Amino acid sequence: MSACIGTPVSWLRLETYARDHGDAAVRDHIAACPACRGCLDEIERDVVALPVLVVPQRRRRTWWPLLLVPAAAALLLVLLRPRPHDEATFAVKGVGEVTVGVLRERAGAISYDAREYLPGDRWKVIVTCPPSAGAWIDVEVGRDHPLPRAHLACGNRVVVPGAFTLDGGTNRICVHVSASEGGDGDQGCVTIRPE
Amino acid sequence: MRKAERILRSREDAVDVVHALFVDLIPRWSRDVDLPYLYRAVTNRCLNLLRDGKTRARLLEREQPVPQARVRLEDEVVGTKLIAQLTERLDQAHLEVLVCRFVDDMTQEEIADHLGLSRKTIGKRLDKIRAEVVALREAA
Repeated sequence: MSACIGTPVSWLRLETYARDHGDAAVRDHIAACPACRGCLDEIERDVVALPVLVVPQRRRRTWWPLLLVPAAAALLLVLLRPRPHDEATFAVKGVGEVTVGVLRERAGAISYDAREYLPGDRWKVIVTCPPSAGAWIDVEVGRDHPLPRAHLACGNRVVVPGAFTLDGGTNRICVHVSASEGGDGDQGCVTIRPE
Repeated sequence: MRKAERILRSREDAVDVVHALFVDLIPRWSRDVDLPYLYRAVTNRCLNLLRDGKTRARLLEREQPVPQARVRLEDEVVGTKLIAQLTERLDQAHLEVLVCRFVDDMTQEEIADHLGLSRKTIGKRLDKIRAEVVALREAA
């Protein structure tokens, strides 16, 4: 390439000139300058066609997976729904925090979360309270006291001695807990329904 | 794309640069996107490619045709190899001036107008570029 006769016309100006041939200064320069004329020729010769970008066609959306979203949400609601209280927790002066619950024995099988009964099921009361304390327990089902009043050394899931059966519709088992025999305390109740 | 090819000396890479640029521009296409803007954007993308070690090695492996040089830097033709070497010595601002002056053949006034800087700043940057080229020669 021969040298430019003066200050070369920049590629940007040449590119702009190639589009409209409007810049008189560029026109005058390239008329006299073989170097810049060569560059302009290169621009005009080099018609660039960019390869077409292939845009992947959007796949047809299948609609049925959308149903999975509410289904999964419903399943989660079922799984995570607040369960009915299996146990009752309350504070008793002189004892501490007490949790009472029941267990069911049916044909030798023990269930801690059963809340339905059949005739013949045996029920026991379990109490959880701070290990350093002791507590007096009085169990009441309706107006009956199926178990003798008992004194327990507290601990985790201590089973109150004795068992009882249920009948006659829905039963409410209330466990009265106090620090001294016959003293004031509090009670927690569990509702058991016929199966 | 011609500009990208002048810097990279590779049509395939130039096509990639321009494609990527246009894809990025599609969401914000406006009248502000003119030829000078595209020039700057292409320059920056090409410089980024040359900064990347793997791409640089691949580009330099090719047998590069000697570019048409109307403006020389210290009697050197500013090609891909020299720009690649200078990416390790100069920051983006200086490299952009380097490309404008010695690849795009702009005058100092044009560069100042193009980059929105004063001519004095462009002059200083060119001085530093020249000094780095001299240092590069001495190191070699």
